[in-house]
Amino acid sequence: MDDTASGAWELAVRDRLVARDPSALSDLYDQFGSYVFGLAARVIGDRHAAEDVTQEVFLSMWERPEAFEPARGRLRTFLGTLAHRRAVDVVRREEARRRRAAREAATATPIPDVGELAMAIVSAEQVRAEVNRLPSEQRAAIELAYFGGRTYRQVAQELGIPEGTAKSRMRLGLGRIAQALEAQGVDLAWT
Amino acid sequence: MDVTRREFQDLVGAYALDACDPDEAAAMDDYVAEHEDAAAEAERLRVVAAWLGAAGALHPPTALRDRLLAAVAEPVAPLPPVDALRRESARFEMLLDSLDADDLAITTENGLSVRDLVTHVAIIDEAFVAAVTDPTVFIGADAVAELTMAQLPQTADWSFAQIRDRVRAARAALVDLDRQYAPDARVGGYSRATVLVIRAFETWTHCHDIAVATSRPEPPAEPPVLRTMAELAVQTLPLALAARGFAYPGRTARVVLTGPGGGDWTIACDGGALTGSAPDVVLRVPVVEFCRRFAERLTVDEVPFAAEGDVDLARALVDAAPAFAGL
Repeated sequence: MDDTASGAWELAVRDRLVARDPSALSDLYDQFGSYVFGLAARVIGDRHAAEDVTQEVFLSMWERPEAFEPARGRLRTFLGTLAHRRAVDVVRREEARRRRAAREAATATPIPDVGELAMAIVSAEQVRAEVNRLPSEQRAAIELAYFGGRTYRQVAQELGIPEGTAKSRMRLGLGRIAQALEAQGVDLAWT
Repeated sequence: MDVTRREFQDLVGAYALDACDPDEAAAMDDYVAEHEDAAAEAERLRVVAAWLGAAGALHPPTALRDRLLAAVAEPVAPLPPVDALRRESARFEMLLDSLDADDLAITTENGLSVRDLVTHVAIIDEAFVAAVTDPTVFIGADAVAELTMAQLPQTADWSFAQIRDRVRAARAALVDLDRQYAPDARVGGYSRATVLVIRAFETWTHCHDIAVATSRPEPPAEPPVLRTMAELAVQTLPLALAARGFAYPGRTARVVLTGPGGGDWTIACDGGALTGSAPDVVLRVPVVEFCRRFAERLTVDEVPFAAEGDVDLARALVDAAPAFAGL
């Protein structure tokens, strides 16, 4: 399922970034640009903000390539985490702003609508299949948190469940996918 | 706030999904930094989370890539023509140094052997140097081919060392034009400044031809040299369109060549004055591929170009680019 290049490639790109080689950044972007942009767009639900996040993610790799430690994980996970954290920050800032506005209007905050985004689906079908196999309550908690940018406290509130239950659904759901992937021979461990 | 092992277990799922409160996330970051097994467990779930996000990969707008690369690129200025020529000559010499006797008979892109291609470089350099005293001489693509074919047989029994001596002598004479003549002096139908860039361009192209044919590593091209060559190639586009019989009166194109040594130009496609209105098309091409197309080493379909606006005009520009390419 891994459509990314090898660990050796990741190591070489990191070295080239450390050496301030701009072509390493374009290689990195060509490999992961649509992943980072798609992830940010899905979480934020706004293309322009997603472009900003994408640029920030790659510029941060350019400025601090040492932050990626190949011994501690794969590049996709590293970039995905960077992108997701920033995207979630954008959503939460926006929500805080809207909540202030909503005190008067008293409207609920909708989950970002991604239906309008023309999605070019790549790989990751295996993961998608495992997500679909999850018990629906685990899946809902994970998707609300990951794509909706919600904290587990907000998830608990929106689903009307205790916070402890929200946390355990996330942990159990992710763990289940991890296990299923490992059973299919996918290596999720540190390399 | 400190996290216990039990709290880590409790929160790790939410943590991997970035769904903790900020103080909890910070405490988890600290815990993970200190506990290798906890870090491994968090990473395992983060891998899953990262793949969740991969299901919605979206092609970002081309402009984003340009913006990003522009943000990190050191601005590269074009070189004085003679410096571009000197640097390309040095790169060419470096590649020739790496060749074995067995490499010399290998056929290159334009049909000449490596050996004859090197000789060809010297022959054309000499032709330009000779042309400086005769303003009626025009060295176009046809003349380049004719001169080469006429003179190659005379070198049939030359050693490669002799050929390389000839290349160096011819190149030195060409470089010397810079000292002897004004930039706008006519040489072979061009300005002296343009000739030096044309020869740098040709050297760059043949360097690649030889590297590809012999599978030798090509010394990396220098961005300032690429910038100098790209400048010439873009300025030639209106003439190239005309030479190919494409007429785009009153139309303008913005040509963005991306990557180190690239640049951003707006040209009047009919060779006239720019009107200052928005361009009819924005054509984006990586600078190396654009230069390869200019030298006719790539077909139109091999050039990874993107166009916003008048796509037909963009294609015509890429199509016509090699109008003046010789051997």
